[in-house]
Amino acid sequence: MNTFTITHTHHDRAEIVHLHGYLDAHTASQFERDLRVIIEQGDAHVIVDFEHLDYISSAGLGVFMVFIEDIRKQGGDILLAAMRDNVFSVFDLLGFQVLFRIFPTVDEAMAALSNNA
Amino acid sequence: MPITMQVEHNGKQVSGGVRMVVWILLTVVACIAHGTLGVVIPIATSEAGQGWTAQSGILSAIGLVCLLGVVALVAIFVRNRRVQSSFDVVSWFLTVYSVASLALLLLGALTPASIIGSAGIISAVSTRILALASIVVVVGMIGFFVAYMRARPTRRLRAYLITQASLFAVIGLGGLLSVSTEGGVVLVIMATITSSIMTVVNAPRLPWLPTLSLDKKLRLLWLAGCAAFASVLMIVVFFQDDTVLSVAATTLIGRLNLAVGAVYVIGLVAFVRLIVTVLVALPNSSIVDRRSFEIESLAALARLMAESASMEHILTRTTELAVRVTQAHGAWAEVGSGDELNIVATQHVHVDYVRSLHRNQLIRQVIAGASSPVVIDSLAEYGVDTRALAIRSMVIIPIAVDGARCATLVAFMTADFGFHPDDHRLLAAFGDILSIAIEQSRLHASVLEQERLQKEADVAREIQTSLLPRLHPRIEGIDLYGIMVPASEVGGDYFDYVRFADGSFGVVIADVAGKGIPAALYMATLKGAVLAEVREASGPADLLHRLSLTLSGQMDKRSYITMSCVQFQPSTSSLRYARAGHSPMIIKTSTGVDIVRPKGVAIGIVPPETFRTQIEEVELHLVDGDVCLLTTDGVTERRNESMQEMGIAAINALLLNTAAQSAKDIVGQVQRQLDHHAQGADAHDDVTIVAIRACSGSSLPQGQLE
Repeated sequence: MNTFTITHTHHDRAEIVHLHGYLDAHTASQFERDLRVIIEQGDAHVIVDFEHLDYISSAGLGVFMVFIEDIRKQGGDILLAAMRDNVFSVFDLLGFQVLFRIFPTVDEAMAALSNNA
Repeated sequence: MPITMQVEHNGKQVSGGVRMVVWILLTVVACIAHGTLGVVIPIATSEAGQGWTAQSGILSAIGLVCLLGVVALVAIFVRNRRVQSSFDVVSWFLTVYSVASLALLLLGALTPASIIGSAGIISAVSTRILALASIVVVVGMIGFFVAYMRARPTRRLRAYLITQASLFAVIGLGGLLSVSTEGGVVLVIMATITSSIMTVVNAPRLPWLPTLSLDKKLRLLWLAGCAAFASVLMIVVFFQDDTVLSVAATTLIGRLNLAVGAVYVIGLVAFVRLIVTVLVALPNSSIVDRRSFEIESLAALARLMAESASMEHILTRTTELAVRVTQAHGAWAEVGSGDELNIVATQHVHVDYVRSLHRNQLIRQVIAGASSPVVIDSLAEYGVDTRALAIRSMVIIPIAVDGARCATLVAFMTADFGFHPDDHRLLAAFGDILSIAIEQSRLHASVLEQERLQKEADVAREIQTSLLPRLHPRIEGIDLYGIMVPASEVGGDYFDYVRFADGSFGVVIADVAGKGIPAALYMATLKGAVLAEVREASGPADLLHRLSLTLSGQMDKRSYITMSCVQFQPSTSSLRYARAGHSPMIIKTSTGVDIVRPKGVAIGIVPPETFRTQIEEVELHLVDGDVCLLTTDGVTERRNESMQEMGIAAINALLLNTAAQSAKDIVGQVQRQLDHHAQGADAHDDVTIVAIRACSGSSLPQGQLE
């Protein structure tokens, strides 16, 4: 059974959400629930750390689209960072780069946030 | 029941009841024969009741020979009989014996003494009937004892039976001798005492007795008491020489009454012995009752489990059993806690009362806090003010399934220290079984859910299949073939052949994010939109943009559609291609294999205006033999057991090695490559492959009708 876990750390400017494992149709609803809690409680800015994510399916991708509109209306953003090649290619193929800013590392995403401010 | 007990004789099954009837009939015949003889030879009757005479002795001897013959026959018949000493057998015998004895006594009491002593047919017949009836009862009793002793064969048994038979013979002989000498009476008394002692010593242990319920023991006690009472009356009657029955017996054989009385003494001893045994076993009855009830209730719960009943039904039955077994004053089962507390089943207590108990903070904590079975001997110990409470002691059994508390069983008493440690143990066992039963019932529900899902999947599959093209059109300048291989769960793949506004031919291939019925319904929506928009669309990019406009706001936020579209112009042999986030097209030309990947975003992830700025359209000029391959991600992401995706490289290699083949062959080869890679692993996503091969009009391949 493929597992998926989500952890998050709070930083000055953003909540950093770390994803681990397989994000597919079975784990997407859990991810959505957890992410909702994190977004509602935390900062307007969210950086998603993909470093330990092995796989993402279309259902997993869908979750990001749920929140992006609302969070941008509140002046925040969701930044994606540190994707492995296989995960990046999925985002890339779909054209997600039009919707999300994707960074090679979490630090770069943090830096981008600082520059914006 | 013992009367119809099956016995084996020479391979035939003979009913014990039938044999009993035969026995009684033969005895009756013997009695009548004896009585008739007595009438035919008047000397016998004239001497009746007067003592031993040669004539009456001969008569009686003939009658007795008949009787003994019958007994011997029966003995031969019953030799193989396996009497199983049981409560039923013993109680049946005691009942028959008591009734028969008392009936005989009644008969004796009702028969006027004047008849027995006098001459005449009536006297002769009734005398002999009474005498032989006495013998039948005695022989029946002896027969039962023999069978009863044989029920548990021991090594001593044979010796014991022989000794007892000898003693009975001695008693009979003593009875006869006592006519002329007092030594006979002494012999009878000695033999009776010896036989009684032997009976007391050798009476078989009744293994089933301690396990009887109190109710049955008391019944046995009562029956044995009746039998003993009947025996005492018999002894009194037969040891007096002037009672009707005594006189009748003596008429048959001189001082037969003495022998009959002696046997009744032995019977009395045996009955008293039985009474003592039952009395000794009586004190543990409550424990036995409890044990047997525990076993019964556990079995009942196990049956319940097998029935896969609803949780409510299971809990109701359990509370019923809990109250019956533990003699608790009441019980209830609850599910959930706090505001969602649901009192599912109550016994001898009203739901509102349980709710009011839950309003007591301390009680609520005690119940909610129990992580394992808890006995509360006194609620007062927990600081609960019990002055206004009827409930004083309780057993709380939390029921967990998969480690999560799902219900609680509570039994209570209105007295402190109401529960025995055994109650605790038993109710805990109830809890264990309950948790299995509940799990079982959940599994059952999940199987139903599975069936429902399967049905849903079938519906989705039907929708999907109905949306796909059934014909592969003949198009001038290209050879075309496409298939969709469904996964076990509908994956949302869709492809179609279309005509653009200018009449040119096109192919669309799409993958709707999501699975099952939702995906199938999006597909249906998409097909409708494609058919509506393509008539107005000038080319692939325009069509995709129009679709993004049409579908914008129609889709769930989580959902999106990836789609590729090609348009073929036969006049120029050119192919226009646009892609909305879909797997790129692979093209094989004479120079090699290329991946064509124009810019484009999936439909549904950005607003239509953004979509429009992002979408690119490319134009390719095809020459004969060029192959364009459109796939969904089910192809490149097809995995084998070790979770490796097939990837695009394998397809590239395959296309490179493909000589001039039809589109259908190419699709077939890709499929074989997929199967080869997957090595039997299940497909998690639909697989769609559309191949377009350029060919001049002359070499137009067959237009397949599939």
